[in-house]
Amino acid sequence: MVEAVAYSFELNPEMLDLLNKEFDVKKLAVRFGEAIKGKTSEEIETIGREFFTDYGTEWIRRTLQLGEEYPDRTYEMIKMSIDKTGGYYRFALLPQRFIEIAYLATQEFPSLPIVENNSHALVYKLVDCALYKSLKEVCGENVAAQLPCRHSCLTALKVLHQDLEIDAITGMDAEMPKDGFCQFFARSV
Amino acid sequence: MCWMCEAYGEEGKRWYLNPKNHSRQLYTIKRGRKESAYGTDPETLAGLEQRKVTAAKWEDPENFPQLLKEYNEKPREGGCQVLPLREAIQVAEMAYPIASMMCICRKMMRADEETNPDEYTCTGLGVGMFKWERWPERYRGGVNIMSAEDAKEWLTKMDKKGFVHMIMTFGGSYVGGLCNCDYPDCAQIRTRLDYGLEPALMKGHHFAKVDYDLCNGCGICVQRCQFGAIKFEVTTDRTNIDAFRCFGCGLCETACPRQAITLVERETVPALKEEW
Amino acid sequence: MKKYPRIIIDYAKCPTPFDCKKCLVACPQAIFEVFPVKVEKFKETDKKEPGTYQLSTFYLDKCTACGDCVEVCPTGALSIDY
Repeated sequence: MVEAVAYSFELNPEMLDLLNKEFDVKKLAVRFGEAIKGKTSEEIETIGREFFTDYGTEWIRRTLQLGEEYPDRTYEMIKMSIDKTGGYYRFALLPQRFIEIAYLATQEFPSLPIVENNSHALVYKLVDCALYKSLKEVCGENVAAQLPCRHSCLTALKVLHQDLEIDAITGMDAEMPKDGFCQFFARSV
Repeated sequence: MCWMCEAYGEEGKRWYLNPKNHSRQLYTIKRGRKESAYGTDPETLAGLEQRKVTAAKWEDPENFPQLLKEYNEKPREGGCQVLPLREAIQVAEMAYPIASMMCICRKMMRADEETNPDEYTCTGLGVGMFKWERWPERYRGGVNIMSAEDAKEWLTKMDKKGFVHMIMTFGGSYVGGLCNCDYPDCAQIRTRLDYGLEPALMKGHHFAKVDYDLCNGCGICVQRCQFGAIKFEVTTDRTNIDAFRCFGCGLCETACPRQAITLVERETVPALKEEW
Repeated sequence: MKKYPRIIIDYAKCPTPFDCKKCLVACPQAIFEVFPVKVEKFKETDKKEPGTYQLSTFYLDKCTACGDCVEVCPTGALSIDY
C-alpha cells in the first residue's frame, strides 16, 4: 500500500524568484535601449545579435544549474522514466523541463504553450511575451519589429540541447511581428 | 464526419493521430490557488454525469428517454472512440509518456485488483502519469512507464487476450487514456450498448467485412466480438458481421487465421458515413 | 412500465465490500459496483478498513432477481424486493 507522502510536483517558487530577479526582462529592455541609442537599424541588428545571444546563454545556463539544485517530484519521475526506458524519454522531456522553468520564471503566463512534445520533437510558442512587450515600450515599435530578442530564445534552445548532449536541430518557424506569436522547435536527429 | 476529428483533427489526420493532442506542458504555476486534499479527477466527474442518465433507466424510467435524448444532443467536449490495434500502435509513437496501469472499470465492476505490471490492463497517456502519486487510490500499484517499443508490444499482447482498444480525452482535446476493454466490465462499452449514451463511446473509423471466399466458418472471430456484431451463419457456414453493430475494433481481423476479414473505412460507405 | 427488482443492502453488514467482493464476482449480470467513499490525496484507501468502500447496485435494470448474490453473501447483508 502507498503511504501518504505529500510530494511537491510543482516548480520550487524560491528557484523561480531567484531566476526572475537575475533575468528581469524589463531591466534587460532598458539595458538594450541604452546599447542601441542613436544606432541605425543595421547596427541594431548586429548589436542585438550579440546582446541577446549572451543573455540567452547566461539565462539558460543559470536555469540548468538552478533546475538541478531545486528538483521536484515531477523531475524525479522523469529521471526515473528515462532510466527505466533506456533513455527513451530523455528527448524531449529533459529539455522541456528546463525550457519551461526558463520561461515561467521570467514571463507572466502560468504555463508554456507546448505545441508538440514527443521523442521526435519539442515545439512551443510564445503568444504573450513580456520581453517583446518591454522592448516595444522601451525601444519603440520599430526596434521590436526587428525582433532582436529572438536571438535570446534561439540561443537558449540551442545551448540547452548542447549542454544536455542531445543532438537536435533547433530553430523558429513563426515570428511575433508577422504571425502574432513566436514558435520555436527542436527536432531530434 | 467524426465529431472528434472535426473538433480536434488536423490536416486530414484523425484526432488521436494528431501529435498536438498528445502534447502538454509539465508545469503550471498556481498563483494563490489552493488544491483540496480530497477530490475527484476529471475522469470521475465525466463518469458521474453519465451515471445520472444510466441510473434513471431503473430509478426514474418515465424520464429516462428524455434524459437520454438530452445527453446525446448536448454539445460535446472531448470523447472516447474505438480504434484498431494498428492505430493504437501508431499512438504509442506520439503518446508522451505512455504507461500501463490498473483498470478502474474492472475494479468497480468486479472488484478486480490489478496490483502490478503483469496484471495491468489499462494504458494511461500524458504528463499526468508522472504525477500519479497525488492520487494513489486512482492508480493502485502505481503506473508502469514504457518506451514506445515496449508499449507496442504491450498493446499487441492486450489485443491477443481479446481486449477492445479505445482512446479518450477527459474533457477537451488532450488524450489521456488508451483502454483495453470488454463487456460488461468496461463502463463505456456498457453505457453505449445497454443504455444508448452515444458520446460515452463512439464507433471507430472502420467496420469489419468478411470475404466469403476466404472464410471457412471456423468461428474464431465470433468469440472475439464484444459488441454482438458477429454471428455464425449456419445457412452459409460462414461468419456474418453486421456493419451497423460493428464498432471497428478489428479484434476479429487480428484473430482470423485465413485473413478473411478486412477493416473498411466507415466513411467510404454511404449509409455508414454518419454512424458513429 | 417495466418493473425492476430492488436489492436492499444492509450497509452495517457490508463494511468492506472491496475486500469481500463475493457478490461482485458472482453476479451473472454484473449489476454491482464498488467504489471508495472518500478519495484522499497522496493516500491509497485501505480496503480492509470498515466504511472506506461502498457497494451499489448500479446496473439494476439488468438484475434478474435470481438470488445468487443473496446466497453468496457471507453476512446476510443483501435481500431482494420484487
